[in-house]
Amino acid sequence: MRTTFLIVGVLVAIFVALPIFIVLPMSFSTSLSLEFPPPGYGIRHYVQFFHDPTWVGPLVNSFVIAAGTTVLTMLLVTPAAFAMVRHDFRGRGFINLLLLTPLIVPHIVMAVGYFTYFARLHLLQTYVGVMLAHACLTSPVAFLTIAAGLKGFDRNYERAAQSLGAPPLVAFFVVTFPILRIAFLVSGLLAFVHSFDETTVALFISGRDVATLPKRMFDAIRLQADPVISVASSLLFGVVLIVFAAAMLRQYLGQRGAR
Amino acid sequence: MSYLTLQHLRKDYGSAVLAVNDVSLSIEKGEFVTFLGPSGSGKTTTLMMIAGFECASGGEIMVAGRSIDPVPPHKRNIGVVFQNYALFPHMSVAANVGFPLRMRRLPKAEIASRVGTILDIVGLGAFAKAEPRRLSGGQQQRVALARALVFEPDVLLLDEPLGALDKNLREQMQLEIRRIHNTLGVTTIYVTHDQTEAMTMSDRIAVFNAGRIEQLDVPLKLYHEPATAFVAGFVGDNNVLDGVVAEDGFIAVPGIGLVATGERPSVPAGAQVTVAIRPESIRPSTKAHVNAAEFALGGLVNYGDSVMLIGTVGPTPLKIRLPAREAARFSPGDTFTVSWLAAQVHLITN
Repeated sequence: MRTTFLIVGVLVAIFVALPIFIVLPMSFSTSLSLEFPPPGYGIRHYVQFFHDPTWVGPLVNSFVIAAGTTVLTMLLVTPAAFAMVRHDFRGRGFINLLLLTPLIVPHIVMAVGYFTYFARLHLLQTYVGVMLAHACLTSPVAFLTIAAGLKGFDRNYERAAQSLGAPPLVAFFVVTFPILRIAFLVSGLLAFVHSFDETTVALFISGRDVATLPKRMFDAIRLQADPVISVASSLLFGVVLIVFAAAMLRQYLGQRGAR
Repeated sequence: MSYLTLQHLRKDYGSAVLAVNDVSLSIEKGEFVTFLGPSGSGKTTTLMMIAGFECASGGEIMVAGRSIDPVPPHKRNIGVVFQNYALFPHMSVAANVGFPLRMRRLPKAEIASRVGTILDIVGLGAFAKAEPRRLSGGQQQRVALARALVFEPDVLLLDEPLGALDKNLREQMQLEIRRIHNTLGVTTIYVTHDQTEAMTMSDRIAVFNAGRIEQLDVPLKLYHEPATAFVAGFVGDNNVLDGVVAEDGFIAVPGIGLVATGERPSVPAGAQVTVAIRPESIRPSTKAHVNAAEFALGGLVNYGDSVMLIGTVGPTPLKIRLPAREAARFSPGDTFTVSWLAAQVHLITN
């Protein structure tokens, strides 16, 4: 029974991970077109990627937008989570639902909406526009992560801090935040990664000026099968992998330190 | 001159009954007062209102003659110790204890010396650098106590601080808290549902029930002269019996008959009263007294040093506590005469 589960699990994992094992070797290929398996290995595509401003620009844009989105998301969902977990008020259930709608509404629908609405606000093809849209998409998961942490948080920590002379905001920063740092870290990372690889909305509103990496890749594959795409894919995957590996390493080291 | 005063304090959570209903009391500077009561009696809610974590729905809290209602918790200068200690897990023992001093922006050297002094007082001088979670429950409780005392609070509030400890440690910590209180002389309010704890520690005890204070008195007076039927039943084991004042000043108790009391009733004949007789005041007896009854033994509860005999007199339940050796000759189903002295019958008239 256990072996069967193990075999099925491994097969599923291979199936899911297979595209990575195709894209990664292709990015180190010497071939001038996208072909698999590669005829030889080299780093010429990487050199080309980093010498081409039309690729490096979107890579930088993606980092800037993901970072901005993360900050914006945290600033939005932290007070929201406190309000929803700590207080009971009229319309609480409705607002909770509203907070989670970006999870339910198809991204393409949101993208069309942003495209027409942001045009009027002159937010198309701007960092702020993409960050706002991405913050909306990332907030439900970030909100749920922090709310879950907050629900398990003993309020007596905050009360103790206040009775000892800490004003509410100070109590948050020196007691609540450090104790819930894992929840905040995970929440922020999820927002960062979600924004970094978000494609649909970026496709509609990032335009040429602030094109993100996924948007640039989509443009590239529409025109020609440029093998540099495989480099971009590998980089995209690499960033996501590094972010999560760093988070897990931190948590692992934190637990070892605590023991 | 009272130091801490509660005037007609109320807390309304919007349910049918008030969580705290018109609580008034005044506490002297340096006094150790315990709030004793069953869970849901309003004692912790009252404490939380004094600390400022809950808003009062009505009434006033005064410290040293000034109302503290508009003062936020962090400016009240009141130390609080929680049942689960609430030590900050990401700070060392010394950092926890130094926290209130850092919030008050004291110089580093002074913080270090005051933290050292208070840790010595609670007997944890050697644990300054330890992480709170590595300490035992009793040690954590001492750290919480040190943290709540190091900034010389006007009032110290303790919310069931020993609830999570086992019996031996609890008794040890009771003495410890009393010793620290005697050393520092801080005005203290201690919340517990454990009446033994209240008896051994307090200068005075306020017995809470259903959001009200039933009685506020010194422990011995509470034990021997309970003001209400609830206090008589809650503080120590007791036989609380309803009766009616008879013509000659005796009390007619259903099932037992006429009962003579120590003090003559101040209410007229026919009035509803309550009499309280401690189980240890009742003895097996051969002669039929005025204060005597036929006791039908239902069961025995062994406490080791003593035995509680539980049974009935007619329809009325009655408890008798005997030394273990005396109780050995009785077994469930026995019927025998018991009696008590009039002086040991306490009369409750309201």
